[in-house]
Amino acid sequence: MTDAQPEMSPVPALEVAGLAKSFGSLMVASDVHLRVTPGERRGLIGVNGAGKTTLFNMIAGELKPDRGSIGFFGEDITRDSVIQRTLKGLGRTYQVSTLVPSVTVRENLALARGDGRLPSLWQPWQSRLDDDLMTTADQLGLTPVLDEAVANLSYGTLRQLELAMVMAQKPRLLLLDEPAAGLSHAERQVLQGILQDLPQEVTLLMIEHDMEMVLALSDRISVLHQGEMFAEGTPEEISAHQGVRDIYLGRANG
Amino acid sequence: MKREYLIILALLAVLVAWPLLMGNYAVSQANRAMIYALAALSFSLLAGRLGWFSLCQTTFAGISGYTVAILGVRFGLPFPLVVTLALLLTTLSAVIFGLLTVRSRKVGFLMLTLALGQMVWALSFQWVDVTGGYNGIAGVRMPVYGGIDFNATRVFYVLVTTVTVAIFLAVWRLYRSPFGLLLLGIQENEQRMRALGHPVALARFSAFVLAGAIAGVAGVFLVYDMGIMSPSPLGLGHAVWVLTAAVLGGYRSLLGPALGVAVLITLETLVAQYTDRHMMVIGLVLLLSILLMPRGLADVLEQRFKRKSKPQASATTTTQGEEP
Repeated sequence: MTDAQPEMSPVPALEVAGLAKSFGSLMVASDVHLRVTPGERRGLIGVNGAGKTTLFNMIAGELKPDRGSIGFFGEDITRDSVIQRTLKGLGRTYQVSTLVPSVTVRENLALARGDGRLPSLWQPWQSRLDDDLMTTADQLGLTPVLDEAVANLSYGTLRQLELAMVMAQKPRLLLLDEPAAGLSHAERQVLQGILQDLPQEVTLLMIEHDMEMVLALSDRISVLHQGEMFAEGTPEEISAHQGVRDIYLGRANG
Repeated sequence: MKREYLIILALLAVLVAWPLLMGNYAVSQANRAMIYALAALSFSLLAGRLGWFSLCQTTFAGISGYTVAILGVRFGLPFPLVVTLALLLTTLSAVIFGLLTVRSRKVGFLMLTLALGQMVWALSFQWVDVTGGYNGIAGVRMPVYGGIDFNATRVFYVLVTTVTVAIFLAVWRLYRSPFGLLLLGIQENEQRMRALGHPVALARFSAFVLAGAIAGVAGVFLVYDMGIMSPSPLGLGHAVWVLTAAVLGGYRSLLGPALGVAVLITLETLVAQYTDRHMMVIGLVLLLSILLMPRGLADVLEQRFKRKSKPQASATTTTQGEEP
């Protein structure tokens, strides 16, 4: 395999090539290219409307691209359904996470780790909660709220649950859509710690507006602008990039 | 947890005592109630778990009933074979209907089930050669085994009660299974369930077929209870009656549909004794109960119990809006 020669570029975890999508006359992605190597932490930034979530939706299979292809660990998944992609090891969180509001955190956790098959009609749902799942939940600080209805959770806790659900899937590639949005400063610190502690083999692609967090977590950062990849580089390169400062940092920092 | 078992034991006690203490009429009313409780359970399984309001669950009961009548009376097939074929054919119809409706949501689903139900209803009185048209097929009788006449009200009661209780217990189990939980998840957040790797369409379809099969069992009992199969149980009136009972009792809970049926049948029986305008009275009662208890009788009782035993449990409150 590729591990003998680290200098040679290995099979990428994610290879987006020439992806395009328009809604009517509105072009939301035109010829997007993105290559993320296994184990990498990649930040994806861009102003509102740059097409970040659209790109996520296409990678996750919730939106069909007009053109282009998506490779996942060397396999073309452009035509796969959402479930097929999930089963292959692609996990994602949503900007607005709701999960199943009327039931408890515990019951939501029991719904994690779908395997593409019909779950049991006869076993109690509690049978799906094993040590592994409960450990993940505990790491994310969910133990005190296990019997709380999801509808009653604070926003921050909801994000933790969202993350626990997707982590339980043991994804190879994790897409995080603004994980820190709406979190308090303390909650951001916790989240950053959790993301830093993710197993090294998990590849991370993260949309985030909190530049401090993106710069701290990312190995590399991609900048999406008006439906195209505008720049890519290390956090240092991106922070120093004049064009990026103009379109993003300048505006973001007022 | 323990309270739940107590309620079940109390209910079982009532069901055992009923034929011992009550008169023939009350027992036959109980038979009818049990049959409609199954139909309402079939409706509630879809409405409560998936948010799918079906107007064709009584149609499945009708298909099952006609199969029993045609095979039993016209062809004279033996009872076990008749029942097996009736349930198979009903399940098959549910498979076909399910394939047609599985992609639809809310109003779309309601309209599709309305259309399918009306088509079968029309077929039932227009396909005279097979169904006997409006006259229907009379003379549907339970068999006599070992000197026990299953047509006798109390014997029939034992049979209907046993099967109904077994089905309710199975659905109770299903509601607490990962599958039951997944159905709720699909109702509230379909996209998320898919992203978590659950086969959403298959789960919906399975629930639909299962509900159809339950309605099929109701249909078998209904036709033996009435002794005649005619188009009327397939009409929209019956479908709406079942919907009303389920909403009145509370379609989100397991016992809600049974409770709704029991209340509605009791009301109809009692009020009709005093006035010809009983529909007005029942309508008024329904109006008030929906206004005062939008989540159904079962929910009101549940909340009352909860307040007594624990200050507050969080699991049952929903944030979703009330769907029609």
